[in-house]
Amino acid sequence: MAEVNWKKAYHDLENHIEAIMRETSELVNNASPKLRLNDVLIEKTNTLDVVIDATGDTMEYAIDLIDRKGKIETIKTGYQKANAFSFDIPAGRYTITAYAKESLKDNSRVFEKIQVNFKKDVK
Amino acid sequence: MRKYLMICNAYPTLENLYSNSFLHRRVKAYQQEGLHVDIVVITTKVLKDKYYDGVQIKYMDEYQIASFLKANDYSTVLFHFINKKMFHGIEQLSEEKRPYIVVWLHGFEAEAWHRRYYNFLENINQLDNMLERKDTVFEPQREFLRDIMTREDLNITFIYVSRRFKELYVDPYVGVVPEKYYIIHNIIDNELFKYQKKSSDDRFKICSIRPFTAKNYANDLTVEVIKKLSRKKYFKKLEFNIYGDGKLFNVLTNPLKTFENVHLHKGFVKQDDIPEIHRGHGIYLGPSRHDSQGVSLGEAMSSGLVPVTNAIGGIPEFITHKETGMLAPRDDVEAMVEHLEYLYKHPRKFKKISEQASKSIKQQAGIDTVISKEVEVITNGRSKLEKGLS
Repeated sequence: MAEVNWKKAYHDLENHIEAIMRETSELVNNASPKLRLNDVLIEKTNTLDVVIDATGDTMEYAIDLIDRKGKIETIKTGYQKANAFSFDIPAGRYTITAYAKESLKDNSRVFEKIQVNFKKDVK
Repeated sequence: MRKYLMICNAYPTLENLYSNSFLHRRVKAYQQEGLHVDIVVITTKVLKDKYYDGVQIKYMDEYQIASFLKANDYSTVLFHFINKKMFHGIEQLSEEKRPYIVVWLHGFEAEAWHRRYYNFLENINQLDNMLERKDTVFEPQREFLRDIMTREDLNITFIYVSRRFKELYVDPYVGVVPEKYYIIHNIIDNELFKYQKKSSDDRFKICSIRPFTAKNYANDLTVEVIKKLSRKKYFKKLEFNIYGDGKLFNVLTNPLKTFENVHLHKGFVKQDDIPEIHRGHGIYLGPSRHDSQGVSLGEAMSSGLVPVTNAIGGIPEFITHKETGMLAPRDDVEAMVEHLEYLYKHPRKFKKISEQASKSIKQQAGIDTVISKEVEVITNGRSKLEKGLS
Protein backbone atom coordinates (compact mmCIF):
# COMPACT_ATOMS: atom_id res chain seq x y z
CA MET A 1 0.00 0.00 0.00
CA ALA A 2 1.36 3.43 -0.97
CA GLU A 3 2.18 5.93 1.75
CA VAL A 4 0.54 9.29 2.37
CA ASN A 5 2.89 12.11 1.34
CA TRP A 6 2.66 13.89 4.69
CA LYS A 7 5.38 16.39 3.82
CA LYS A 8 3.55 17.63 0.74
CA ALA A 9 0.25 17.78 2.61
CA TYR A 10 1.89 19.67 5.47
CA HIS A 11 3.37 22.30 3.18
CA ASP A 12 -0.02 22.84 1.56
CA LEU A 13 -1.65 23.25 4.96
CA GLU A 14 1.12 25.56 6.13
CA ASN A 15 0.17 27.86 3.26
CA HIS A 16 -3.20 28.36 4.93
CA ILE A 17 -2.03 29.09 8.44
CA GLU A 18 -1.59 32.85 8.07
CA ALA A 19 -5.01 33.14 6.43
CA ILE A 20 -6.60 31.00 9.15
CA MET A 21 -5.07 33.22 11.83
CA ARG A 22 -6.22 36.41 10.06
CA GLU A 23 -9.78 35.07 9.79
CA THR A 24 -9.65 34.03 13.44
CA SER A 25 -8.34 37.45 14.49
CA GLU A 26 -11.26 39.10 12.71
CA LEU A 27 -13.66 36.69 14.36
CA VAL A 28 -12.25 37.33 17.82
CA ASN A 29 -12.23 41.10 17.34
CA ASN A 30 -15.83 41.14 16.17
CA ALA A 31 -17.07 38.56 18.64
CA SER A 32 -19.37 39.61 21.46
CA PRO A 33 -17.97 38.83 24.93
CA LYS A 34 -18.99 35.59 26.59
CA LEU A 35 -21.86 35.99 29.02
CA ARG A 36 -20.73 36.06 32.64
CA LEU A 37 -21.90 37.55 35.92
CA ASN A 38 -19.04 39.49 37.51
CA ASP A 39 -20.57 40.77 40.73
CA VAL A 40 -23.77 41.64 42.56
CA LEU A 41 -23.33 44.93 44.43
CA ILE A 42 -25.55 45.67 47.42
CA GLU A 43 -26.07 49.09 48.98
CA LYS A 44 -28.20 49.41 52.06
CA THR A 45 -29.73 52.85 52.67
CA ASN A 46 -33.38 53.56 53.28
CA THR A 47 -33.90 51.14 50.41
CA LEU A 48 -32.13 47.98 49.41
CA ASP A 49 -30.27 48.80 46.19
CA VAL A 50 -28.87 46.08 43.98
CA VAL A 51 -26.63 46.52 40.93
CA ILE A 52 -25.84 43.53 38.72
CA ASP A 53 -22.43 43.70 37.04
CA ALA A 54 -22.37 41.31 34.07
CA THR A 55 -20.57 41.01 30.74
CA GLY A 56 -22.29 39.97 27.52
CA ASP A 57 -24.08 41.14 24.40
CA THR A 58 -27.35 43.16 24.65
CA MET A 59 -28.02 42.36 28.29
CA GLU A 60 -31.20 42.14 30.36
CA TYR A 61 -31.37 41.79 34.14
CA ALA A 62 -33.83 40.50 36.75
CA ILE A 63 -34.02 39.84 40.47
CA ASP A 64 -35.98 37.45 42.69
CA LEU A 65 -36.13 38.73 46.25
CA ILE A 66 -37.23 36.22 48.90
CA ASP A 67 -37.99 37.22 52.47
CA ARG A 68 -36.50 34.38 54.48
CA LYS A 69 -38.96 34.92 57.32
CA GLY A 70 -41.88 34.99 54.87
CA LYS A 71 -43.26 38.33 56.06
CA ILE A 72 -43.53 39.72 52.54
CA GLU A 73 -44.25 37.85 49.32
CA THR A 74 -41.39 36.98 47.01
CA ILE A 75 -40.69 39.84 44.58
CA LYS A 76 -39.94 38.84 40.97
CA THR A 77 -38.96 41.90 38.94
CA GLY A 78 -38.98 40.31 35.49
CA TYR A 79 -36.25 41.15 32.98
CA GLN A 80 -35.36 44.81 32.29
CA LYS A 81 -32.64 46.66 30.39
CA ALA A 82 -31.33 48.56 33.45
CA ASN A 83 -28.97 46.70 35.76
CA ALA A 84 -29.88 48.67 38.93
CA PHE A 85 -32.79 47.79 41.22
CA SER A 86 -34.14 49.53 44.30
CA PHE A 87 -36.46 47.81 46.82
CA ASP A 88 -38.39 49.72 49.45
CA ILE A 89 -38.87 46.84 51.83
CA PRO A 90 -38.96 46.22 55.57
CA ALA A 91 -35.75 45.35 57.37
CA GLY A 92 -35.08 41.64 57.47
CA ARG A 93 -33.13 38.72 56.08
CA TYR A 94 -33.49 38.22 52.34
CA THR A 95 -32.22 35.92 49.67
CA ILE A 96 -31.47 37.70 46.40
CA THR A 97 -31.15 35.81 43.13
CA ALA A 98 -29.65 38.12 40.49
CA TYR A 99 -30.04 37.10 36.84
CA ALA A 100 -28.44 38.34 33.63
CA LYS A 101 -29.21 37.16 30.12
CA GLU A 102 -28.54 38.13 26.50
CA SER A 103 -31.72 39.39 24.82
CA LEU A 104 -31.00 37.86 21.43
CA LYS A 105 -30.11 34.39 22.63
CA ASP A 106 -32.46 31.78 23.96
CA ASN A 107 -31.34 29.74 26.94
CA SER A 108 -28.56 32.16 27.81
CA ARG A 109 -28.75 33.00 31.52
CA VAL A 110 -26.35 33.36 34.43
CA PHE A 111 -27.35 33.95 38.03
CA GLU A 112 -25.96 34.34 41.52
CA LYS A 113 -27.69 33.82 44.86
CA ILE A 114 -26.71 35.90 47.88
CA GLN A 115 -28.01 36.35 51.44
CA VAL A 116 -28.61 39.87 52.78
CA ASN A 117 -29.33 41.11 56.29
CA PHE A 118 -31.06 44.41 55.52
CA LYS A 119 -31.30 47.12 58.17
CA LYS A 120 -32.67 50.50 57.15
CA ASP A 121 -30.04 53.22 57.35
CA VAL A 122 -32.17 56.28 58.12
CA LYS A 123 -30.06 59.48 58.07
CA MET B 1 -24.64 -9.66 -19.63
CA ARG B 2 -22.91 -7.71 -16.86
CA LYS B 3 -25.17 -5.46 -14.82
CA TYR B 4 -24.07 -2.11 -13.46
CA LEU B 5 -25.64 -0.09 -10.66
CA MET B 6 -24.84 3.51 -9.77
CA ILE B 7 -25.67 4.62 -6.20
CA CYS B 8 -25.51 8.36 -5.61
CA ASN B 9 -26.91 11.16 -3.44
CA ALA B 10 -28.75 13.01 -6.25
CA TYR B 11 -29.47 12.64 -9.96
CA PRO B 12 -31.01 15.11 -12.41
CA THR B 13 -34.74 14.92 -13.13
CA LEU B 14 -37.12 17.11 -15.13
CA GLU B 15 -37.91 19.01 -11.93
CA ASN B 16 -34.26 19.46 -11.01
CA LEU B 17 -32.17 19.47 -14.18
CA TYR B 18 -28.90 20.59 -12.61
CA SER B 19 -28.64 18.22 -9.67
CA ASN B 20 -25.38 16.30 -10.27
CA SER B 21 -25.91 16.73 -14.02
CA PHE B 22 -22.35 15.48 -14.58
CA LEU B 23 -23.49 12.01 -13.47
CA HIS B 24 -26.10 11.92 -16.23
CA ARG B 25 -23.46 13.01 -18.74
CA ARG B 26 -21.45 9.95 -17.68
CA VAL B 27 -24.39 7.54 -17.79
CA LYS B 28 -25.29 8.64 -21.32
CA ALA B 29 -21.68 8.17 -22.39
CA TYR B 30 -21.58 4.69 -20.79
CA GLN B 31 -24.77 3.83 -22.71
CA GLN B 32 -23.03 4.82 -25.94
CA GLU B 33 -20.26 2.42 -24.99
CA GLY B 34 -22.86 -0.34 -24.64
CA LEU B 35 -23.00 -0.38 -20.83
CA HIS B 36 -26.40 -0.36 -19.18
CA VAL B 37 -26.35 1.38 -15.80
CA ASP B 38 -29.26 1.42 -13.32
CA ILE B 39 -29.51 4.41 -11.01
CA VAL B 40 -30.41 4.46 -7.32
CA VAL B 41 -30.57 7.71 -5.37
CA ILE B 42 -30.38 7.23 -1.60
CA THR B 43 -33.14 9.06 0.28
CA THR B 44 -35.37 8.57 3.28
CA LYS B 45 -38.32 10.07 1.34
CA VAL B 46 -40.81 7.73 -0.32
CA LEU B 47 -40.59 8.61 -4.01
CA LYS B 48 -41.82 6.86 -7.16
CA ASP B 49 -39.32 5.99 -9.86
CA LYS B 50 -38.60 8.85 -12.24
CA TYR B 51 -37.47 8.83 -15.86
CA TYR B 52 -35.10 11.38 -17.29
CA ASP B 53 -33.73 11.40 -20.81
CA GLY B 54 -34.09 7.62 -21.17
CA VAL B 55 -32.72 6.80 -17.72
CA GLN B 56 -34.79 5.25 -14.91
CA ILE B 57 -34.04 6.58 -11.44
CA LYS B 58 -35.05 4.63 -8.32
CA TYR B 59 -35.22 6.21 -4.86
CA MET B 60 -34.40 4.03 -1.83
CA ASP B 61 -33.19 4.18 1.74
CA GLU B 62 -30.25 2.06 2.88
CA TYR B 63 -32.43 -0.93 3.81
CA GLN B 64 -34.25 -0.92 0.48
CA ILE B 65 -30.87 -0.73 -1.26
CA ALA B 66 -29.77 -3.81 0.72
CA SER B 67 -32.87 -5.78 -0.38
CA PHE B 68 -32.45 -4.54 -3.96
CA LEU B 69 -28.81 -5.68 -4.08
CA LYS B 70 -29.76 -9.10 -2.68
CA ALA B 71 -32.53 -9.53 -5.26
CA ASN B 72 -30.46 -8.35 -8.23
CA ASP B 73 -27.17 -9.76 -9.28
CA TYR B 74 -25.10 -6.68 -10.08
CA SER B 75 -21.57 -7.42 -11.16
CA THR B 76 -20.42 -3.85 -10.52
CA VAL B 77 -21.66 -1.08 -8.24
CA LEU B 78 -20.54 2.52 -8.78
CA PHE B 79 -20.67 5.06 -5.94
CA HIS B 80 -20.60 8.85 -6.15
CA PHE B 81 -20.42 10.99 -2.98
CA ILE B 82 -20.25 7.82 -0.92
CA ASN B 83 -21.13 7.52 2.76
CA LYS B 84 -21.71 4.70 5.21
CA LYS B 85 -25.47 4.51 4.63
CA MET B 86 -25.00 4.19 0.87
CA PHE B 87 -22.61 1.30 1.50
CA HIS B 88 -24.92 -0.52 3.95
CA GLY B 89 -26.36 -2.76 1.21
CA ILE B 90 -22.89 -4.01 0.22
CA GLU B 91 -22.15 -4.91 3.86
CA GLN B 92 -25.29 -7.06 3.98
CA LEU B 93 -24.11 -9.27 1.12
CA SER B 94 -21.98 -12.30 1.87
CA GLU B 95 -18.36 -11.93 0.78
CA GLU B 96 -18.72 -14.16 -2.29
CA LYS B 97 -21.84 -12.25 -3.44
CA ARG B 98 -20.25 -8.83 -3.20
CA PRO B 99 -19.85 -7.04 -6.52
CA TYR B 100 -16.83 -5.22 -7.91
CA ILE B 101 -17.04 -1.69 -6.46
CA VAL B 102 -15.88 1.61 -7.93
CA VAL B 103 -15.92 4.70 -5.71
CA TRP B 104 -15.52 8.24 -7.10
CA LEU B 105 -14.14 10.80 -4.67
CA HIS B 106 -15.16 14.27 -5.80
CA GLY B 107 -14.68 16.73 -2.94
CA PHE B 108 -16.56 17.39 0.29
CA GLU B 109 -17.12 13.70 1.09
CA ALA B 110 -13.38 13.13 1.43
CA GLU B 111 -11.92 16.27 2.98
CA ALA B 112 -10.95 17.29 6.51
CA TRP B 113 -13.37 19.46 8.46
CA HIS B 114 -11.01 22.45 8.48
CA ARG B 115 -10.28 22.67 4.75
CA ARG B 116 -12.88 25.38 4.07
CA TYR B 117 -12.25 27.29 7.31
CA TYR B 118 -13.14 30.66 5.71
CA ASN B 119 -16.71 29.44 5.26
CA PHE B 120 -17.34 29.00 8.98
CA LEU B 121 -15.33 31.78 10.62
CA GLU B 122 -17.90 34.52 10.09
CA ASN B 123 -19.33 34.11 13.56
CA ILE B 124 -18.94 31.97 16.67
CA ASN B 125 -22.13 29.99 16.01
CA GLN B 126 -20.82 28.78 12.65
CA LEU B 127 -17.54 27.78 14.25
CA ASP B 128 -19.27 25.96 17.12
CA ASN B 129 -21.51 24.18 14.63
CA MET B 130 -18.51 23.03 12.60
CA LEU B 131 -16.66 21.85 15.69
CA GLU B 132 -19.67 19.70 16.49
CA ARG B 133 -19.84 18.41 12.90
CA LYS B 134 -16.14 17.59 13.12
CA ASP B 135 -17.01 14.87 15.62
CA THR B 136 -20.47 13.86 14.41
CA VAL B 137 -19.99 13.96 10.63
CA PHE B 138 -16.36 14.27 9.54
CA GLU B 139 -14.81 11.75 11.95
CA PRO B 140 -17.30 8.92 11.20
CA GLN B 141 -16.87 9.59 7.45
CA ARG B 142 -13.07 9.45 7.85
CA GLU B 143 -13.33 6.14 9.70
CA PHE B 144 -15.67 4.78 7.05
CA LEU B 145 -13.35 5.75 4.17
CA ARG B 146 -10.34 4.39 6.02
CA ASP B 147 -12.19 1.12 6.57
CA ILE B 148 -13.20 0.57 2.93
CA MET B 149 -9.74 1.65 1.72
CA THR B 150 -7.96 -0.95 3.84
CA ARG B 151 -10.29 -3.98 3.86
CA GLU B 152 -9.18 -7.11 2.09
CA ASP B 153 -12.66 -8.60 1.72
CA LEU B 154 -13.73 -5.97 -0.82
CA ASN B 155 -12.86 -5.79 -4.50
CA ILE B 156 -12.84 -2.02 -4.61
CA THR B 157 -11.26 0.67 -6.77
CA PHE B 158 -11.15 4.41 -6.06
CA ILE B 159 -11.21 7.23 -8.59
CA TYR B 160 -9.86 10.66 -7.63
CA VAL B 161 -10.69 13.65 -9.82
CA SER B 162 -7.15 14.98 -9.64
CA ARG B 163 -3.81 13.88 -8.23
CA ARG B 164 -3.43 17.03 -6.17
CA PHE B 165 -6.93 16.52 -4.75
CA LYS B 166 -5.82 13.07 -3.66
CA GLU B 167 -2.47 14.12 -2.24
CA LEU B 168 -3.40 17.42 -0.63
CA TYR B 169 -6.98 16.86 0.48
CA VAL B 170 -7.96 13.19 0.69
CA ASP B 171 -4.78 11.33 1.70
CA PRO B 172 -4.01 13.44 4.78
CA TYR B 173 -7.69 13.32 5.82
CA VAL B 174 -8.09 9.56 5.56
CA GLY B 175 -4.50 8.76 6.54
CA VAL B 176 -4.13 5.86 4.10
CA VAL B 177 -3.83 5.35 0.36
CA PRO B 178 -5.96 2.57 -1.13
CA GLU B 179 -4.35 -0.34 -2.92
CA LYS B 180 -6.25 0.25 -6.17
CA TYR B 181 -6.90 3.74 -7.42
CA TYR B 182 -6.91 5.85 -10.58
CA ILE B 183 -6.76 9.54 -11.28
CA ILE B 184 -9.58 10.29 -13.71
CA HIS B 185 -10.74 13.88 -14.06
CA ASN B 186 -14.30 15.11 -14.24
CA ILE B 187 -15.48 15.51 -17.82
CA ILE B 188 -14.97 18.86 -19.48
CA ASP B 189 -17.64 18.67 -22.15
CA ASN B 190 -15.72 19.73 -25.25
CA GLU B 191 -18.83 19.14 -27.39
CA LEU B 192 -20.83 21.71 -25.43
CA PHE B 193 -17.85 24.02 -24.83
CA LYS B 194 -16.54 24.07 -28.37
CA TYR B 195 -13.33 25.96 -29.07
CA GLN B 196 -13.78 29.30 -30.74
CA LYS B 197 -10.71 31.07 -32.02
CA LYS B 198 -10.16 34.33 -30.19
CA SER B 199 -9.13 37.66 -31.71
CA SER B 200 -6.63 40.00 -30.01
CA ASP B 201 -9.48 42.31 -28.99
CA ASP B 202 -11.17 39.48 -27.07
CA ARG B 203 -8.57 39.96 -24.33
CA PHE B 204 -10.38 43.18 -23.38
CA LYS B 205 -13.53 41.19 -22.58
CA ILE B 206 -13.36 39.51 -19.21
CA CYS B 207 -16.08 37.37 -17.68
CA SER B 208 -16.61 35.51 -14.43
CA ILE B 209 -19.33 32.89 -13.85
CA ARG B 210 -19.25 31.72 -10.25
CA PRO B 211 -21.62 30.84 -7.42
CA PHE B 212 -21.74 33.59 -4.77
CA THR B 213 -22.74 31.21 -2.01
CA ALA B 214 -19.47 30.84 -0.07
CA LYS B 215 -16.01 32.33 0.30
CA ASN B 216 -14.22 29.43 -1.37
CA TYR B 217 -15.41 30.81 -4.71
CA ALA B 218 -13.24 33.85 -3.92
CA ASN B 219 -15.45 36.40 -5.69
CA ASP B 220 -14.08 38.97 -3.25
CA LEU B 221 -10.76 38.62 -5.10
CA THR B 222 -12.50 39.35 -8.42
CA VAL B 223 -13.88 42.57 -6.93
CA GLU B 224 -10.47 43.59 -5.55
CA VAL B 225 -8.79 42.85 -8.87
CA ILE B 226 -11.27 45.07 -10.75
CA LYS B 227 -10.89 47.86 -8.18
CA LYS B 228 -7.11 47.77 -8.59
CA LEU B 229 -7.37 47.65 -12.38
CA SER B 230 -9.61 50.73 -12.28
CA ARG B 231 -6.50 52.78 -11.43
CA LYS B 232 -4.82 51.73 -14.68
CA LYS B 233 -4.91 54.00 -17.71
CA TYR B 234 -6.28 51.26 -19.95
CA PHE B 235 -9.11 50.28 -17.57
CA LYS B 236 -11.84 51.87 -19.69
CA LYS B 237 -10.81 49.74 -22.66
CA LEU B 238 -11.74 46.63 -20.66
CA GLU B 239 -15.24 45.21 -20.26
CA PHE B 240 -16.26 42.96 -17.36
CA ASN B 241 -19.32 40.76 -17.08
CA ILE B 242 -19.90 39.14 -13.69
CA TYR B 243 -22.45 36.30 -13.59
CA GLY B 244 -23.63 34.43 -10.53
CA ASP B 245 -26.06 34.16 -7.69
CA GLY B 246 -26.01 33.64 -3.95
CA LYS B 247 -26.20 35.46 -0.65
CA LEU B 248 -22.84 37.19 -1.23
CA PHE B 249 -23.62 38.63 -4.69
CA ASN B 250 -24.97 42.04 -3.64
CA VAL B 251 -22.62 42.43 -0.68
CA LEU B 252 -19.51 41.76 -2.73
CA THR B 253 -20.37 43.40 -6.04
CA ASN B 254 -21.78 46.65 -4.62
CA PRO B 255 -18.46 48.54 -4.98
CA LEU B 256 -18.40 47.67 -8.68
CA LYS B 257 -21.63 49.51 -9.47
CA THR B 258 -19.73 52.75 -9.94
CA PHE B 259 -17.87 51.42 -12.97
CA GLU B 260 -19.63 51.80 -16.33
CA ASN B 261 -17.64 48.99 -17.93
CA VAL B 262 -18.53 46.43 -15.24
CA HIS B 263 -21.85 44.67 -15.85
CA LEU B 264 -23.42 42.65 -13.06
CA HIS B 265 -25.74 39.77 -14.01
CA LYS B 266 -27.33 38.39 -10.87
CA GLY B 267 -28.98 34.99 -11.36
CA PHE B 268 -28.32 31.31 -11.87
CA VAL B 269 -26.69 30.64 -15.23
CA LYS B 270 -27.88 27.44 -16.92
CA GLN B 271 -25.11 25.28 -18.29
CA ASP B 272 -26.57 25.50 -21.81
CA ASP B 273 -26.26 29.31 -21.67
CA ILE B 274 -22.59 29.33 -20.71
CA PRO B 275 -21.11 28.63 -24.18
CA GLU B 276 -22.80 31.80 -25.49
CA ILE B 277 -21.20 33.83 -22.68
CA HIS B 278 -17.86 32.21 -23.42
CA ARG B 279 -18.19 33.18 -27.09
CA GLY B 280 -18.33 36.87 -26.17
CA HIS B 281 -15.24 36.93 -23.96
CA GLY B 282 -11.51 36.26 -24.11
CA ILE B 283 -10.52 35.96 -20.45
CA TYR B 284 -12.15 33.98 -17.65
CA LEU B 285 -11.45 35.55 -14.27
CA GLY B 286 -12.07 32.68 -11.86
CA PRO B 287 -10.20 33.03 -8.58
CA SER B 288 -10.54 30.19 -6.11
CA ARG B 289 -9.60 29.17 -2.59
CA HIS B 290 -10.58 25.54 -2.87
CA ASP B 291 -10.99 23.25 -5.87
CA SER B 292 -10.46 19.56 -6.42
CA GLN B 293 -10.34 20.20 -10.18
CA GLY B 294 -11.86 23.52 -11.23
CA VAL B 295 -14.49 22.40 -13.72
CA SER B 296 -15.74 25.90 -14.59
CA LEU B 297 -12.16 26.94 -15.40
CA GLY B 298 -11.80 23.86 -17.60
CA GLU B 299 -15.04 24.65 -19.43
CA ALA B 300 -13.85 28.20 -20.11
CA MET B 301 -10.51 26.84 -21.36
CA SER B 302 -12.31 24.41 -23.63
CA SER B 303 -14.19 27.35 -25.21
CA GLY B 304 -10.87 29.15 -25.76
CA LEU B 305 -10.86 31.59 -22.87
CA VAL B 306 -7.65 32.25 -20.99
CA PRO B 307 -8.21 31.46 -17.31
CA VAL B 308 -6.80 33.78 -14.65
CA THR B 309 -6.95 32.02 -11.30
CA ASN B 310 -5.01 30.82 -8.26
CA ALA B 311 -2.52 27.98 -7.84
CA ILE B 312 -4.52 26.15 -5.18
CA GLY B 313 -5.91 22.62 -4.78
CA GLY B 314 -6.20 20.70 -8.04
CA ILE B 315 -6.00 23.76 -10.33
CA PRO B 316 -2.24 23.66 -11.17
CA GLU B 317 -2.75 20.14 -12.49
CA PHE B 318 -4.81 21.60 -15.33
CA ILE B 319 -3.25 25.02 -15.90
CA THR B 320 0.40 25.70 -16.60
CA HIS B 321 1.30 29.33 -15.95
CA LYS B 322 1.71 31.40 -19.14
CA GLU B 323 1.14 28.30 -21.28
CA THR B 324 -2.49 27.36 -20.72
CA GLY B 325 -3.56 30.13 -18.35
CA MET B 326 -2.37 32.50 -15.67
CA LEU B 327 -1.81 31.35 -12.09
CA ALA B 328 -1.42 33.60 -9.06
CA PRO B 329 -0.56 32.45 -5.54
CA ARG B 330 -3.38 32.00 -3.01
CA ASP B 331 -5.31 35.25 -2.35
CA ASP B 332 -2.73 37.29 -4.31
CA VAL B 333 -4.70 40.14 -5.87
CA GLU B 334 -1.56 42.01 -7.01
CA ALA B 335 -0.36 39.00 -8.99
CA MET B 336 -3.77 38.57 -10.63
CA VAL B 337 -3.73 42.22 -11.70
CA GLU B 338 -0.23 41.75 -13.13
CA HIS B 339 -1.39 38.67 -15.04
CA LEU B 340 -4.31 40.55 -16.59
CA GLU B 341 -1.94 43.38 -17.49
CA TYR B 342 0.41 40.87 -19.08
CA LEU B 343 -2.41 39.58 -21.29
CA TYR B 344 -3.40 43.17 -22.11
CA LYS B 345 0.16 44.00 -23.19
CA HIS B 346 0.84 40.73 -25.06
CA PRO B 347 -1.98 40.10 -27.56
CA ARG B 348 -0.08 37.41 -29.45
CA LYS B 349 0.72 35.53 -26.29
CA PHE B 350 -2.95 35.83 -25.28
CA LYS B 351 -4.03 34.16 -28.53
CA LYS B 352 -1.45 31.43 -28.13
CA ILE B 353 -2.45 30.66 -24.54
CA SER B 354 -6.11 30.59 -25.60
CA GLU B 355 -5.42 27.98 -28.25
CA GLN B 356 -3.17 25.92 -26.01
CA ALA B 357 -5.64 26.02 -23.12
CA SER B 358 -8.41 24.51 -25.21
CA LYS B 359 -6.19 21.80 -26.69
CA SER B 360 -4.70 20.91 -23.35
CA ILE B 361 -7.95 20.58 -21.43
CA LYS B 362 -9.55 18.52 -24.20
CA GLN B 363 -6.63 16.15 -24.13
CA GLN B 364 -6.64 15.95 -20.35
CA ALA B 365 -10.36 15.88 -19.49
CA GLY B 366 -12.33 15.82 -22.75
CA ILE B 367 -15.26 13.42 -23.08
CA ASP B 368 -13.42 10.73 -25.03
CA THR B 369 -10.40 10.76 -22.71
CA VAL B 370 -12.42 10.52 -19.51
CA ILE B 371 -15.04 8.04 -20.68
CA SER B 372 -12.55 5.62 -22.20
CA LYS B 373 -10.62 5.61 -18.91
CA GLU B 374 -13.75 5.21 -16.80
CA VAL B 375 -15.10 2.40 -18.98
CA GLU B 376 -11.78 0.61 -18.63
CA VAL B 377 -12.03 0.87 -14.87
CA ILE B 378 -15.68 -0.02 -14.41
CA THR B 379 -15.46 -2.98 -16.76
CA ASN B 380 -12.41 -4.02 -14.80
CA GLY B 381 -10.43 -4.31 -18.02
CA ARG B 382 -7.31 -2.43 -17.18
CA SER B 383 -5.21 -3.17 -20.23
CA LYS B 384 -5.03 0.48 -21.33
CA LEU B 385 -4.42 1.93 -17.94
CA GLU B 386 -1.36 2.24 -15.87
CA LYS B 387 -2.23 2.33 -12.24
CA GLY B 388 -2.19 5.81 -10.78
CA LEU B 389 -1.48 7.63 -14.04
CA SER B 390 -3.87 10.21 -15.38
